[in-house]
Amino acid sequence: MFFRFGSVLSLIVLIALTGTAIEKQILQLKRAITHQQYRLDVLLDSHVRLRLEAQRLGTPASLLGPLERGELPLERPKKPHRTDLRRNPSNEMNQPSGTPG
Amino acid sequence: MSNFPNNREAVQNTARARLVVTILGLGWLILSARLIQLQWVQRDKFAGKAEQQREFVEETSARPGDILDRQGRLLATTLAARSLYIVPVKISDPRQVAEALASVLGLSPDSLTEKIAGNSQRQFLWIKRRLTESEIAAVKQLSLPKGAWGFRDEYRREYPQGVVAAQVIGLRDIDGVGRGGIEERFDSTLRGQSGQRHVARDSRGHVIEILDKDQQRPVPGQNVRLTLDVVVQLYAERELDQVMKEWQPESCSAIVIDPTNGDILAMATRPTFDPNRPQEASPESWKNRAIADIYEPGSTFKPIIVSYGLDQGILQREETFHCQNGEYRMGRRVLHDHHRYGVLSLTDVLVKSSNIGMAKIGERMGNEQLEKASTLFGFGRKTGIELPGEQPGILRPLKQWTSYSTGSIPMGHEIATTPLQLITAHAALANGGELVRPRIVLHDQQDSISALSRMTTPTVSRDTAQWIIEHPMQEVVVRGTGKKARIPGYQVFGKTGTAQCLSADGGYVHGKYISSFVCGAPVESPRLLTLVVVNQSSVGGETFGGKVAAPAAANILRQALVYLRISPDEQLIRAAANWKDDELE
Repeated sequence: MFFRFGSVLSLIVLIALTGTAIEKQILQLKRAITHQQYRLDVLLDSHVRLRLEAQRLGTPASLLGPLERGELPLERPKKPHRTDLRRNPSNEMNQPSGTPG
Repeated sequence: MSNFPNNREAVQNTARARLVVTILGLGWLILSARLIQLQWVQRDKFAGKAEQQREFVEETSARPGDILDRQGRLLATTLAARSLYIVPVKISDPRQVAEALASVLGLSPDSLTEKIAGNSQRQFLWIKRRLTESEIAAVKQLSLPKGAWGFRDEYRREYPQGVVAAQVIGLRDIDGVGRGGIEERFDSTLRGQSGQRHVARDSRGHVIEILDKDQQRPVPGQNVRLTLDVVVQLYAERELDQVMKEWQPESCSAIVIDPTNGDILAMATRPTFDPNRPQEASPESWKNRAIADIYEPGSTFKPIIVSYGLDQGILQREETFHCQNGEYRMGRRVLHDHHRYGVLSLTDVLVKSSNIGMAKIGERMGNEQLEKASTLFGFGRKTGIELPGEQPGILRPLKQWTSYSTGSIPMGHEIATTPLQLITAHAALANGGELVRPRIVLHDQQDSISALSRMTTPTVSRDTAQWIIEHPMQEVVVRGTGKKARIPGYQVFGKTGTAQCLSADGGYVHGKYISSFVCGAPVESPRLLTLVVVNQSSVGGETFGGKVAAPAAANILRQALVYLRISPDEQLIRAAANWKDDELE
């Protein structure tokens, strides 16, 4: 009698505990998903901020003047997007033909 | 008999037991009935109530799309920001709250107290929108009444290029609505679609779970890529700044266009504003004068009429016109030239910009043909560029034209145009006779900004257009009124224009001029066209287009040609170098 009662009770408790554990795991996963979504939002915003900062630092408005005045060291990229050089005829025509342009 | 009392007791016990069982049974029955009532009969009602208390729908705003130039440089982007609100009805001491908030947000305590007290019955009141990180941290440190305040997520628009192309880009107002320029025209594309999500809250109102049901993710706004090139735009902006400094006009504008496809590479206006600080903008600075200012084009209109006359066979390339030594009576009207010209070739009529020569061309063509020429080149109607606020200019119906019009129209009077219309008409000459619709949005995206059909209208023959560019308009720069637009190493063509300002009553404002210059290069295959319009210079007397606008237009053109790697004319460079060598020897 006792054994039967104990078995049934144990089974019920076991099922309840399993259910609770599963429920807990579901909640943890949901929390993790929400957390990931939040992190994704934060990362996206961080990406936008960094991109904005990079663009701000490299705006033609801030670079063009110093470049034209030779205040910024100009280093050509090793693999330039275009290989043809920009030619400024105004500079070339101020030099005799024998002088390299 | 001895059992009788026991039997009686047993009967009594049984009765009692039955009573207890009945009572308990009734109790259970009542509980069961109530349970059925709650769980079955009134289930939906109570479930709905519980859901209302636990769940709420939160709107998630969409991140607006970016605006980029043709090289992918950022012109406008969006950052997440938080805005502070309060619930005035839950605030018992407005002054205390106002003083605390004002101290960290840099607001006036008195006006904030007044604002809170004046809205004391409301459930929601903005205190400050788009707070900085330090302001958010400072507000969190304050001991404000619980449940009486909160932050709401919003977006803040940033314009990293500052004043560059401000009128073209426009801005988004405090509520995220596009105002002016691309921001307004493509508001629905850039804005995206807000989403919504159901969240569960605990008894304190804190979100404990984002529920799966009916979740709609926000759809971010699409990016819009413009035909503008920020570097070319910057060249234009710098030159306009120089013009403002040197000639102190009321306003000026510049456009750079690729005549082959109508791409606007630069569109600049002065005065201007910084879209990051719209509160500092003056009312005049909002207007995109390149599309919204109308003016009489003056002599820049002359090549249009001549090309049409040539194409229709009304004029011949080799013919000459007697310019009456600077004075010509046309009906009751006496026309004058700036110099006393005698006989001029058709080329020289344009090179010297003779009004009398053009009046004689007008007499030859007649009003009907003049009107056809103007209409054919797009005057009197909007170009259709993707910007709000474009004006159609003024081209009166033919029946309103008089004998005055015959002399006025060919010299660019009695007609009003926007700078964009004028450069579009000249682009038709530069590209061999096709009137191309100008465009500011690059249509290479596979999205809802579908490529508008490329609208081209034939105007004059390629041969005629080329002749106008290669002869009269090039000669204008070589030896005519546009000599200040010569660019070393390039063969440039152009046309000056100087017109009196129109007054509000339809007459002219004496002593006030609009100077303009349109030029392009290289002559053999024009790749760029530039127009500079300077409105009412306040120094320099009668400010001719060749003096005021030509140097600026040529500087923009020269820099853009070098930047875009458009090959210079080798013959010109060799000739100049040989000449230098000879000089050195």
